[in-house]
Amino acid sequence: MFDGLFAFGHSLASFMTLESVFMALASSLVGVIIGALPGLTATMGVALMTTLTIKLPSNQALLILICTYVGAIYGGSRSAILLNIPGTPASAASCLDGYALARQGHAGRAMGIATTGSVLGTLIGMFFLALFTPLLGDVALKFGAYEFFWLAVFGVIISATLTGGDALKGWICGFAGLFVATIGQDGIHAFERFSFDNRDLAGGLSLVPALVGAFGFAEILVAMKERRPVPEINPFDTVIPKLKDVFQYWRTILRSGIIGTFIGIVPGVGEDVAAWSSYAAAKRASKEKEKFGKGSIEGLMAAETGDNACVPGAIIPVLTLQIPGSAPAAVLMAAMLIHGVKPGPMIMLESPQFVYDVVAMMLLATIGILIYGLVLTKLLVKVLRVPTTIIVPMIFVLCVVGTYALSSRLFDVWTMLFFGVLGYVLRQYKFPVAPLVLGIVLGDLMEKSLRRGLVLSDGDLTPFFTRPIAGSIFAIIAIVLLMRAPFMQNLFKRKTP
Amino acid sequence: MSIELEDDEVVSPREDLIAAVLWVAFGLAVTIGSWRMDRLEKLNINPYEIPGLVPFLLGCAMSVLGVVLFIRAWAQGGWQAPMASATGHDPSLLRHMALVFGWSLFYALVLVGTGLPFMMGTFLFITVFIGMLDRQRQDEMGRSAAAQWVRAAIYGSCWSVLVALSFEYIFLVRLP
Repeated sequence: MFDGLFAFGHSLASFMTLESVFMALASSLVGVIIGALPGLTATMGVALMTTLTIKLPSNQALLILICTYVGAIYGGSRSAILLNIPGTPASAASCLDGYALARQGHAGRAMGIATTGSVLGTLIGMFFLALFTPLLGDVALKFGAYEFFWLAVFGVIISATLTGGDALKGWICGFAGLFVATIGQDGIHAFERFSFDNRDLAGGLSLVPALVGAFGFAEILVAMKERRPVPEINPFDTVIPKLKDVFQYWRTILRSGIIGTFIGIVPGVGEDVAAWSSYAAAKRASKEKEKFGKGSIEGLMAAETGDNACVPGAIIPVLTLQIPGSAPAAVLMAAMLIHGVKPGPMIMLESPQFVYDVVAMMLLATIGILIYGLVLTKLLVKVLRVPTTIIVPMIFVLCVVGTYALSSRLFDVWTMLFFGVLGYVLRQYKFPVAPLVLGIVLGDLMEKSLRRGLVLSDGDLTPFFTRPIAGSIFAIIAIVLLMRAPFMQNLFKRKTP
Repeated sequence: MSIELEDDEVVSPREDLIAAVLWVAFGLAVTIGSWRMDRLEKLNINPYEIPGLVPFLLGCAMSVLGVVLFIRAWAQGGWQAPMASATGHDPSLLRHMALVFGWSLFYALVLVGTGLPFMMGTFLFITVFIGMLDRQRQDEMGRSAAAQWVRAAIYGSCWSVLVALSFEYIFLVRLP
């Protein structure tokens, strides 16, 4: 317990330099602006910042990325409250009550509640990040090839199932993503697969260009398609949060923080599901159910606490299992690998201090969003008024030059374009992109674990099902798949009066 | 995760049917490609380490799921259903998106990396993009065409200089 606190104190002290504090505040601001702009998401922000920070030392680069991530998830609430348009999908639940409050002339109060909820949510998530990472790290040491194989499959399946939309299409995309990860030399014998004698393709498709394409280029194409007019924003009241709101709804804050963190831990689910789940739980438990959707402070607080608590939660499986809990966490994991930080079961043995470094980075990001939430509201409102037609080409230039900067080769730019166009087309036909991306992230782990497992058992499949943890993960996958089968859905429908 | 699906547009079962055929074809292509892949027998490797094993299984999985999507779309009347795009697409939106796609791809594939200085290419891209696509909003504001292009050129020059200098001198990247 005290070892953890000392380690956290040491990490925090190491970031108390002018340079680090400046970087944390600047990147939180970038995150808040990206999050506030409808059409630009946290994943896009983290992916773009990954390309920009490639030459920085690892701790500084990751500090920037984590601050961008936290800032973007918080920033989404601005446009949700003021425009009824979620800046990021994570803030969709905040539209319901945030915009209703704004229409009643309480936009400032709503923004204050969003700031309070986000700050407290991140703090709750941080607490669990510091508490659970060492514990989960111990459990992860028991994981072998069989468990990691099922965990990778679980990530893809659950991401496709829980992110809304059509689960079947999500599964197809997830398997396609796993396939994309097999392109290029295989990890065991360096045999070239599906490279068609192309030297660049033989090296495989890099993850970050694919992410920038799927979440950057594809998103700006969608933003251009929507052709949103420049919004009119009404004047608003004070954004200083009221302590009364915090004390009155402390149970909701705590519950939403816990729900958000635990949803973050589930691989591949993410902040939007965390916000909706927290909102639904708050509504069920509330004494003022009738106010939900009509300007409920409790509802807004729950959604904002839930989505921000999910951020540290999503980093827990990254650190312990090398499996991302959300799309931005997937990019963050890729960035960690690029910077030579090796997350995974060995992290608590090899570099335990890094876990507390991440917690300290989260704390700096939280301070950043608190400051911007209180003092920079007018600037953020101005940012919301910048038309998409001006922002989009500028972001696209960053997508191109950022992917080029990774390894100074144009092939990465072509990869980004390919995944951008693919992501856009898939979205038009309601194929979710998130499972595809998660498949690319988890493909290598899944393949190596399967082949290693088969070699260890000499082709015997039973250990994949009979080992306790592997069998349990398989059982969960089977239940998730069965629950989506039409005959099971009919069964449940019949039972419901 | 992060990308949210747009709920206001509906995909017709016919489109799902076509998509299912494409996925099955893709899955089968992967399966056949993996089956025909070298099994490295001459290296005497463990048969469970053959490079085509995982792509083969993934190809099979995509084909099976594609067939399930096909059956579902067929059951929803996909064979007779109209294409959603035939009923609901606005020609001006198509022109607008063609311009966005075309000009963005032209920038990334032609203006960058084919000899033109990065700053110049980026200036051209941003100026033309804003000049063409922000025109409607500018017209509504009563700005003349010359004023619109000057404004677009200011954005273009500022951003291209900012990006080029920051990448070269702060992020230490040799630009294309």
